[in-house]
Amino acid sequence: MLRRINESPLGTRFILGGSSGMYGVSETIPALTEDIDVMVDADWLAAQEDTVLEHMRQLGFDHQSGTPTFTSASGLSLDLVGYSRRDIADRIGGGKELPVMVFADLSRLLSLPGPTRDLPGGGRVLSPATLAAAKLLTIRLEKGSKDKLQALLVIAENAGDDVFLRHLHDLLGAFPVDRVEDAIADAHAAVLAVSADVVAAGPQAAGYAGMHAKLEQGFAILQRLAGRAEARP
Amino acid sequence: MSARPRTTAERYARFLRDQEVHRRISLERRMHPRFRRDLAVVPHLFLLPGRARMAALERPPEAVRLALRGEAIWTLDTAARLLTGQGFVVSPDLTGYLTEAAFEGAAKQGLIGTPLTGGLSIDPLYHRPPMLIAHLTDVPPPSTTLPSGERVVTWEFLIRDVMGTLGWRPDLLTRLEARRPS
Repeated sequence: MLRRINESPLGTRFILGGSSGMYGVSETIPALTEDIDVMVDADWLAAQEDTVLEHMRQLGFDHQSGTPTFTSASGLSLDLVGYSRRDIADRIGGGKELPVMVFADLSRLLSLPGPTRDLPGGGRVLSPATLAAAKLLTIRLEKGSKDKLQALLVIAENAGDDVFLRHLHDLLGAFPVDRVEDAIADAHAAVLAVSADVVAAGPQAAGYAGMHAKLEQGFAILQRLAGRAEARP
Repeated sequence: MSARPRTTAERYARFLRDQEVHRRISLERRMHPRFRRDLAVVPHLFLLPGRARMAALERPPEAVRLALRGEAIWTLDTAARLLTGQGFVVSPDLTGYLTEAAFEGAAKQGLIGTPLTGGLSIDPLYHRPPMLIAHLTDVPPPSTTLPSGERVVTWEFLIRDVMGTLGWRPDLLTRLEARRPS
C-alpha cells in the first residue's frame, strides 16, 4: 500500500514518520504499530483538500470525517500529521473536512537541514536523526515511553555514524535547553521503566537484556550530544 | 472503547491535556536541586537477567562477606554500608559483582545454598533469609579497595547501580551522598 501511495501524486507530498517511520530507518527496531503516520504540509493540505481526498479514495481509502484518519478495506489505518512552513505553533490546520494536528516541534524539525531521506522504493521518510529528535521531543502521556525507547534504539543503531550524530546534535541544539532537558529526563524515565520490566520479567527475558544494553548505549550518546555527560568511571 | 478514530479536535484537546500534565511533571522533577546532575547518570542494571544470581547465605552475612573479600566487588546496600556505615534497604543481603567461578566457589565452600530461579529483588516486600545477590561478570566494574581489603564499586558506579535498580530516587541519593566519605 505504501508503494502505491508513493507512486501516486501524493507520494511527493507525504513523508513517512511516527512509529511507522521506523520501517524506513531500521530493519531491526520494532515499529510497534501497524498504523501508518504520514507527515504533510498542513497549509498545502488546506489548499488541496479535495484533491487529497480524491487521490486517497482512488487508492482505496475511506476518510473518517472530521479526523485525519483514512482506513482501507484491508484494515490499514493511515493518519495524517501536520507540519507548517508558515509558522511554528501547535494548532489545528488542514481543511474543513480533513483537519490535521499541526505540531510546532515537527514544523521546526522539518525546517532544519536534512529532514528527510528517500526510500528505496520511492517516497520519503523522516531522516534517522529527525525521527529520533521528533520522538525524543514528543509528549504523549500514554505512549510516551515507547517514543523515547525507539529514539534511543535509533541512536544506538547509528552510534558509529558521525553524520547522524552531528545531525542529531544540531537538531537538539535548535530547541530551548529546558525542552532538551525534559526530553532527556523522559528518556531516563523510560530506561528506568524498562529496567524494572527486565527485572520483573526474570531470566526468561533474554531479549530484554540485549535491548537494555542498546538503550544504555543510546542514552549515553544522547547525554553526550546534549552536553550532559559527566566523566564516566 | 470505541473503534471510531478520534477527531482532530479531540486529539488536540488530548494533546493540550498531555502538555499540561507534562509541564507539572517537569516542574516536579526540577524541584529537586539534583535534577540536572542526575540527567548525566546512565542507570546500570545490576539485576540483569542471565547475569544476576541469588542464593541464600549459609553463614552469617559478615562471615560470607569476609570470605569473599578477594573475589567480590560490593555494590548497592552492601557498598553503602561499607562506605558510609549505613545501608538503605532492610533486607540484610550481600550485593556484589563476582565471576561465575567465584560464585560457584562460594557454593562449594558452603557459603551459599542452591541458586534460586526467581524472586530476584534487593528490596523484597516480605521477609526472607539473607541472600547473596550476585551479578556475574568477567569484566569487573570500576572499583576501589578499602583498608579492610574489601572492594566496592566506585561512588559514580554505585549511583548508576542505585538508579538502575531502584529508579530515580532523589531522596535516597541525597541521603546517600550526604554520608559520602570525603
